[in-house]
Amino acid sequence: MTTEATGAPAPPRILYQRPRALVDKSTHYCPGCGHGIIHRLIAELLDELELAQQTIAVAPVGCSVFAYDYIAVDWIESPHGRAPAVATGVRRTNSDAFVLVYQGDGDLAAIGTAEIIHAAARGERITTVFVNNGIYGMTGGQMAPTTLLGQKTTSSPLGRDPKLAGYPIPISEMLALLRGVDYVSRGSVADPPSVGKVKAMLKRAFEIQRAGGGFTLVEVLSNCPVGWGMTAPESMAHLAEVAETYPLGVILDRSKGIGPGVDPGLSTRLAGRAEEAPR
Amino acid sequence: MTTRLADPAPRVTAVEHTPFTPLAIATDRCKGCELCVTACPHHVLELDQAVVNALGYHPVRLVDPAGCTSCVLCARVCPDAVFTVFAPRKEARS
Repeated sequence: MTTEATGAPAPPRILYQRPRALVDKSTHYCPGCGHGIIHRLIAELLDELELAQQTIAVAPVGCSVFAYDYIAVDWIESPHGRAPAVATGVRRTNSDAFVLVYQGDGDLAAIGTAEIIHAAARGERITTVFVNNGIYGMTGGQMAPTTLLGQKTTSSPLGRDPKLAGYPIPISEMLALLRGVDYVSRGSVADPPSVGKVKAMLKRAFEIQRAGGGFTLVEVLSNCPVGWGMTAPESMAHLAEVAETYPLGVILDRSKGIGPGVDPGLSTRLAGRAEEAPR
Repeated sequence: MTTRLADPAPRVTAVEHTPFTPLAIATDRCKGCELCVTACPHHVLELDQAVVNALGYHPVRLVDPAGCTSCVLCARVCPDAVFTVFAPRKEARS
């Protein structure tokens, strides 16, 4: 690989570099936090799909409250849990914009449950990135609605007891039942192949929004090494256990006929079963 | 529209690359989480215990440039995007 004229080595080809949409500064996240990986994936896709200039993103409250400092698009900071409502306003006043919502599980699945469900039911043309680490990381690792059964947190020191604190909420499966939703999937940042799958899911969601589809959501199982009391590699290995409660994969892709209520043969089969069933 | 977009030119230039190394690591951004050390299939990354960076962490270091195959797995898992990966040179492979 030398140029014949000068004999100097040709410049090495770059296989990977920091995406341009990711602001060149250090994040406030703890070492090994999945937020950094997910920010990077979003920035890579904004570069690849050339969406950065037309994107309006809505930041949540939680660890990712400073997301507006890290991804070089226009941001609005929303009140706690109200990001989908703010994004609804953005969408309805900016029909050409690409609207991105970034929320954690404490924000989306606890205080913001009403907003996310109604935004989904209305079929708002927005894409929500739902980062689920099963804990309130920012405030010191308290139990969230998504905390696993038996998981020890600072507010459930003996482990989450369903008699006292109920069961984990599978938000993605719930939203997939709504007619206004076009795409829901769940990935994980546990290892390089999983990270690649999350990127493919985000890309599919972004493309559905660009094609004029309805509400899209990608849930990403992430880690919280400090809140879980583990090293970063241990917390990534622990995500396999988390995935037993929150199964990975595409939950709903309406235009491809995947998901509850959109399987073309399902209603026929259910009708047949109803006839067979004893009255 | 926004003033925060980074310079479109690549920030790492080829001129800085003699002798050739397949990885450029922004050590001042590394938080020493070891996710790349775990992900590397060739075990050529380790934390540099002799260095403490401005953030207060031991940054990651490429121990054996010849053992690196530019598979990009380290960059895929890095939460702080410290890696720039270059394609291996043909003469280095033979």
